[in-house]
Order: sequence, then C-alpha cells, then structure tokens
Amino acid sequence: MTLDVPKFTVIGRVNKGKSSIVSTLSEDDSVIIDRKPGSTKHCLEFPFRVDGKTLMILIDTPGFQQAPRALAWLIANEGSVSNRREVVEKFVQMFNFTEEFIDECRLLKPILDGSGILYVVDGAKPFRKNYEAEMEILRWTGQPRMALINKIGDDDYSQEWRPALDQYFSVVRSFNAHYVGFKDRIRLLEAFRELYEPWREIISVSIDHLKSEWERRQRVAANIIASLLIDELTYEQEITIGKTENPQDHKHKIEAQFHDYLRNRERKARKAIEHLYQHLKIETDESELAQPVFEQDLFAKSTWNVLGLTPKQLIALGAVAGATVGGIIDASVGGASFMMGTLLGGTAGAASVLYFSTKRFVSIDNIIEMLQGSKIVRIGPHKNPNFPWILLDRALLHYKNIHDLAHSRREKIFLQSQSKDQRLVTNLNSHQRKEFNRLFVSIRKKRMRDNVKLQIELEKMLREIISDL
Amino acid sequence: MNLAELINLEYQLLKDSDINPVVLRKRDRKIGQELAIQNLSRCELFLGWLKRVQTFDHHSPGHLLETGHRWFGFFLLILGLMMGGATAASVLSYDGSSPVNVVHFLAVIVGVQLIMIILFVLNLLPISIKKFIPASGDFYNFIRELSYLFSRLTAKIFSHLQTDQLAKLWFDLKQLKIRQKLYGSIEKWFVIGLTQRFSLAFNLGAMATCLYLISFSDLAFAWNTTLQISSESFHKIVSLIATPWSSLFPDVVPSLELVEASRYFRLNAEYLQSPTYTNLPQVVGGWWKFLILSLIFYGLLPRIIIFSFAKLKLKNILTKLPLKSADFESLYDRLTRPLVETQAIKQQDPISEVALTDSKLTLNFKNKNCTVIKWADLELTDNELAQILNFRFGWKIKDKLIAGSLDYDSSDVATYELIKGQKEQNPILILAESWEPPTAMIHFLKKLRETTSGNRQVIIGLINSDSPKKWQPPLLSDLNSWKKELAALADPYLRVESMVEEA
Repeated sequence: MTLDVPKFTVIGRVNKGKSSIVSTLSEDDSVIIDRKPGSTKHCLEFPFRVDGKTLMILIDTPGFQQAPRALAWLIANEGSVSNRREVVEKFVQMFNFTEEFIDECRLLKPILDGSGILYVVDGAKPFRKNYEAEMEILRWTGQPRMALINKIGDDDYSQEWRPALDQYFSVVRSFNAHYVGFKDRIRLLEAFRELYEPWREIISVSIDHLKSEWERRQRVAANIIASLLIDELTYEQEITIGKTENPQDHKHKIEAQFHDYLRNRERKARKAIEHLYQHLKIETDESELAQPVFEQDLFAKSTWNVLGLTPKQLIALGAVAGATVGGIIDASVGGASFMMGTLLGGTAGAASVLYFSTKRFVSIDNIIEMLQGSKIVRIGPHKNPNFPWILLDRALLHYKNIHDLAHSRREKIFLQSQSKDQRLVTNLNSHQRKEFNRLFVSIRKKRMRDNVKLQIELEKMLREIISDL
Repeated sequence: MNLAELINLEYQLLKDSDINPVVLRKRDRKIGQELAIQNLSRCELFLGWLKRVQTFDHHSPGHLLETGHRWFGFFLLILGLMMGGATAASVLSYDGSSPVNVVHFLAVIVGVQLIMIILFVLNLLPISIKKFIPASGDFYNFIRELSYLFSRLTAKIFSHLQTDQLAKLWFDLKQLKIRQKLYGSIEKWFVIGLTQRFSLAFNLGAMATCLYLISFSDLAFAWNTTLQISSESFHKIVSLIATPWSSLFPDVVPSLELVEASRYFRLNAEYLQSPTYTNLPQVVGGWWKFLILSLIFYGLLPRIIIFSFAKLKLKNILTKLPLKSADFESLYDRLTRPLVETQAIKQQDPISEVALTDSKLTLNFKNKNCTVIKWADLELTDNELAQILNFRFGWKIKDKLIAGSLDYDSSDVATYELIKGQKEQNPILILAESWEPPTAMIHFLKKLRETTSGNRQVIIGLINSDSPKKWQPPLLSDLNSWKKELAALADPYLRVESMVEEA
C-alpha cells in the first residue's frame, strides 16, 4: 500500500453522481457531468496540490457495469477468505486489456494500488440487492472504505441504504454533491482522515491549507467588492471637444460611455469573484425572460426597485447625516440655535436624498472651458444616494450565490425569487448601515484623493459581512 | 519606485486582466517562490515580479511617459530660460535716455512671483479650508489643463513612431488614466514639478540676463511711479522687501538717502532728475545688488525650494505607495500565498453525442404470451406485473425469469439456459427501472441474442419507480438514453418501450 500520498477512488454504479462528487470536491467545473451513462470512460486524477506538491489525490472512475458477473468470477476463483485480495488482483490481471470487464478493471486498478474507496450511491433511488455485488467486490480489496449517499432527486431512500452500507463500510455519510458548501467538504475530509491512521497527518495538513485558502478567498472577495464600490462611486468621465463643438452633441455618447463603464466594471468584478471561487465556466444569458436579479442591467428599473435600501431607510440615513452636521453647528453655538441646526440639517439631508433618489442615470453636469478655447465635458460621479446600496446589494447577492456554489452544478445560477426579501443590505443592523453610509459619503467626497484608507475600512466591514453569508 | 516603474506595473496588471486567472496564479506563485528567498519589501517584490513578467521593449508605457516627461521638461526649461531672459531684458532695458525703473523690476520679478507663490501655498491647504477661498478650483483646472497639454505633447512627440504596437500602447496608457484617482497626489506633484521646472528656468534666465546686463553695460537705476508715494514710504517698502537678507547683507538694503536720490519725475515728456542724482555716484548703480538679491530671495530660492519639495514629495509618495488597490492585493496574494490546486491535470475527452434512432421493430400483438425477465431486482409483484403487461400490450406471461441480480449464476446464467430451451418464440420482455444505467444490460443482451434466434422480439420495458407507491412513466431523458445506448447493438429486433404511458 502506498502511504505517501493518500488517494481516494470514487466508485459506484454508472450515473450515480460520482463525477458530481469529484467535481464538487475538486472545485473543477470542467468535469463532464452528463445523464448519458458512461460519461467517464477512464480514471481521471484530481490531485490536491499545494505549491505543486501533491498532498492527496481524488480519482474519478467509469463505474461498475457488471458487478454480479464479476463477483461470480471472484467467488468461483476464491480459495479462502485470506486470499480474496489476490483473487481481485488476478481478476484485473486476467481481464486487463481484454474486451471483458473493461470498466471493472479500470476502477479496481487504483484501489489495488493502495487507494481508499469512496463508494457513491444515489439516495434518491431505492436500494436493490444487486448493489451488494459491488460492495462485496470492494470489501474483497481490503482497502479503507467510506460510503457516500448522494441524492439525485427529491425522494429519499437513505434509510433503506444505511443498514446495507453499514455492513460494508466503516464510515457512511450523506453528501449531496449539488448542495454542499465549504463546511461540508471540510467535514468530509475530516472523515477521510479517520479512515486510515497513516493518512491522518497529511490529510490534516490538506484541511489546513483548504481553510487558509478559503479565508484568502474571503479576503480577496472583500477587496474586489470594495474596489468596485470605490471605482463606481468615484468614476467620472471626461472628453475634450474643440472650440466650435457643442457639448450637447456629445451628450448621448458620453452618457452611454459613462454608464457602460459602470456596467463593465461591475461585470469585471463579478468575473473576478467567480474565478476566485474556481467557477470558470459559469454562463449567463441576459436575453432570458426569467433573468436572475444579478443578471439584470445595473440600471434596470426593476433592479432599483428590488435592491438597495428601502426609501424609508435611505431617507432616515440622509436625515441622520444632515442632522449630524446640524448638530455640530448647534453645539458650536452652545445650543443658542435651539436645535434648529439639527432640525434643518435633518430635513435638508432627507430632502437631498429624495431629490437625488429619482435619478437612475447621470447626465453631463460640468463643462470646463480651457484656456486655449477647447472644452472639457465631464460626467459623473453618480450621485444617487441609493446607488452605492444597490451596488453593494448586487455584489453581496452575487457573492452569496457564487462563493459556496457546488462546482457540480451546471445550470445557470438562479435566485429564489425577485422579491424585496432579496435585499441583503436591509438586513444589516443600523450600526453597519450607518458605517457604510459614512464610508460612502467619504468616498464620494474624496474622489480625487487617495482612497486606500477608506478601501481598507470598507474591506474590513465587507469581510465581516461576507463571512456570515 | 519611480513613476515609469509604477506605470509599467499598472500596465502589466492591465495586460494580465485578460489572462486566464488559473494560468496567472501559477505563473505568479512560481515567481513569488523564486523571489521569496530574497526577503523583499512589498514594493521590491512587485518590481522583481515586473522584471520577470514584462515582455514589452523600450516602448513601454513607462518609457513613453519618461521620454515625454524629459522632452516636455526640456521644452519648459528652454521656454523658461527664454522668457525669464526676455522679461529681465525688458525690465532692465536702458538706452541712456532714462534710467531703469526699479519699480518695474520689483513688480514683475518680485510682485508677480510672490502672488504665484501665495496661490501655490494656498492650494496646499486642506480642501475643507480651500473651498472657502475664491477661485481655488481654477488652480486644479489649471493643473488638469497642463496635464492635458502634457499628454497632447507626448502624443505629438511619439507621432512619428506610429506603429500598430505604439498605437496600442498609447491606447493602454489612456486606459490607465482610469486609475489616476488612485494616484491623484502623484499626478498633482508630477505636474507641479513640471511647472516649477519652468519657473526655476524663468528665474535662472532672468538672473543670467541681469548679471549680463549689469556686468557688460552701464545701467542707471532710479524709481518712479504715478502713484503718490513719498520717498519715505517707498523706502519702507524696499526695506520690507529686503527683510530676508537685511541681517546677512545690511549694505544691500537701500538707504533712505539712496531712495530719495534715485527718484525721478516725468514732466513735459522729460525726465527730471533729483538734484542729488548726479552728485551721488553710487546712485547710478546702487540698486543692482538689491535687485539681484530680490530676484534670488523671491524668485530663485522659492522656486528651488518648491521644485526640490515637489521632487522629494513625488519620490516620497512613490516610495510610500501602499499599492493596496484590488489588483495589487490580488497580485501580492498570487505571489505570496501557497497555490492550492484541486483540479484535474488532464482534461476529459468530450463525449460524442449519438443520434437518437427509433427501432424499426413493430410489436407483434398477435402473440398473446410473452417471456418476462425482471432486470436488476425490479420490485414488482406478480399481480402488478400481470396488470401492467395486460394494460400496456394485452399480453399474458408465459415464463417469468430474472437477470442482473446479485447471484449471477442463479439469475443471468439460469435465464440463458431457460431461454435456450424455449420452443415458442414469443416476445421477450425485459422489465427494468428506467433510472438504472442501460450500459449494464448490454452484455446480457448480447448473450441473450446468442441463446435465442436472431429475429426473436426483445422489448425493454421501462418503469420509473421513483415514487414508492406510484408507477410513473420513465423520464424522457432516461428513455432516450436507453434508446441511444442500446442502438449500439444494432439489433433490428430490439425495442425500448415505456411500460407506463403518459397520462
């Protein structure tokens, strides 16, 4: 038995979700998962590598095709219980490179080379006695064995499967390849650790690396989102036009360019997060009728209705910000203003929110005459008070759906509904909302200055939030 | 780090954004491991990385900027020297008919520069204070305008090199402008450095001209102004101007006597000299030291200080750049964090799609009997079996066999034997659960065909028993999958059928 690098061969009948499990565990969305039986023709290795050093290997196999017939051969050739492993080896030697038992030979080879066994069954389908043939063959190999009850469907026959599996496998776990998250994967690895004592240490190291990698991803994701927010909140666009040109002639062009930049910037951030979590093949189709919210255009009316803060929350935040400024004036005059500063400040803050809230799109708002006669036409940054909240909401919503999405899922990502309940920012506590608001205001004010400090603050807040998602 | 390196770093990051992140992570981690042994600072690490990854030649965006900066700086230097020289020459012009008016010199060389320096200092104030100063925004616009002119000039400088590659680089450089808000202070001090270079050259030009004219011509200085200023008041003004050096060079502070003596008037288009003017020989050239020191203290020195400050500030900002933007964080991460890979090294071969072909076999319902084989432990009671069969085909069961069960000998092998012994060639109906893989049955079907005649009807009847209480028609995908897989047998007397029809 090879002890250096633990190997786990994923075995089971054809179409019972072996490739899904491998895809999820290896975070590899290029694994072919197909209803077509036998989509895995050969054993495929998925090494867990850290800086090029392999710590563990997962092996996807074609799956059993003729287990009862193979078992019959083994029984016919069995001398005694003690030589069962040799009989299996003999079986592989005999049928290897022949037209018989092609898949059985392929899947048994890595096991006989020392790999542990991950036997996969579909818990959504009933147990049938003939499955015992596969389990029995695996038992004959004498390798460490674990069974995973994967569910490909709504029904649940796990209780039927468990008593049978318990007889053949030292560990039996439910593992729904399409819906497990990071924590479930770690729990599974911890179970691997228990399978065979000599593998314990190296699997523990792998788990630590995986946890550290997860923490790194959260940090980078917070960084990407913070960067996106700062870029979008401070972005302004300029074009220089000649002396005789009319700025209004360039209005549509520059406005379109401005909004396109914001859209593309958001798309780029999303792609970065998808890649960070190894989702390299996620496809989106914006022409679909039932678009998920985050596939909708950033400036689509429905997006603005569904996401961001509620009007009440926005006005409240505007009023608080205005009242704070007014309060400072009151304090500076020793209360001689009879709190009029606070009152007027609050009203002005709320009123400004109401005014700017109506604007989803930005228009040219600055034309600078240059000394030589030409003009700089400037647009942006976006002033709508709800804009940062919508951006944040969309970013969090996207992150929530991506970060723990099982890699075995091939369908388009879809949010449950397009209701107002989707707003994640409305669920922030009032302290978090105020802090975010403060940061948004500061970022917008200091748009031409170095925003690194604000970015660090923003990242810190985002890390707290996304670690709870 | 210098500005060219920063721009090249940003440019490389921009280029990298088009590269597959998996490839990028591998490449950068490898470099990071190579650099790790050198114990480098964050900035040095990035520069080390840049050296290893940059593929652009000397036409890098950093080089573009550096060359543009050099040429623009040279242009400003020449312009400044010429303008300074011309200005000094004009305020010191002397044809012997009337003396050089000291007031002109002070107004142009000291006054204007003093105003410029005050404006500059005001601009350094925090925004919260600056916004109360009228027209402070114009300074910013002035800087932007200079920046714009600089980029236009750089484009002009490189216009003769218009190759495709250069055009692309120029486009990328424009793209980098998007990130200028990250480096707002760099842009500010960069442009200030350029303006101060011009101002310094202006003062040097003025100084050189002054020294030349004083040395090689016989200048006579005097003062006059239309304003009703007494000699005492003017003396106070010049004493105030001389304050910075009064303790160092007390002799270079004009005395009241000199001021009074060097005043002159214009009356009836004639300059009238003060009575004492010709009596005091030092009056003729007595002012020049004062004027030279004014130029040094209000022109040259402040410009040297601001120019050096701008240079130092730029260097300081560049040295202390946190390089914490998302792209740099991501790069740092790629360089320093262990590369965890879990994906397959070899890619799977794509699955070839088999076209769905319907069997040409027509069911023969004339037969009333059939042989039923229950496949892979299908759980169906005899009654249920009889019901389904009667309902679906109107057939009766003649023989009931099993296959695909745990015990191969008592199921498959026994079935082969029984089929072999059958005299009646009634249809064989293999009942299977549709969600089981059809591929597992292929071997059985091949052996079955060997044991019975080649034209005996074999029908695979599929049942979906997903729901324990209810028999469902097979999923269309399962049905098609069975049809496609079994089509590989090319058996014209084999057919796949659903045993439960859609309601």
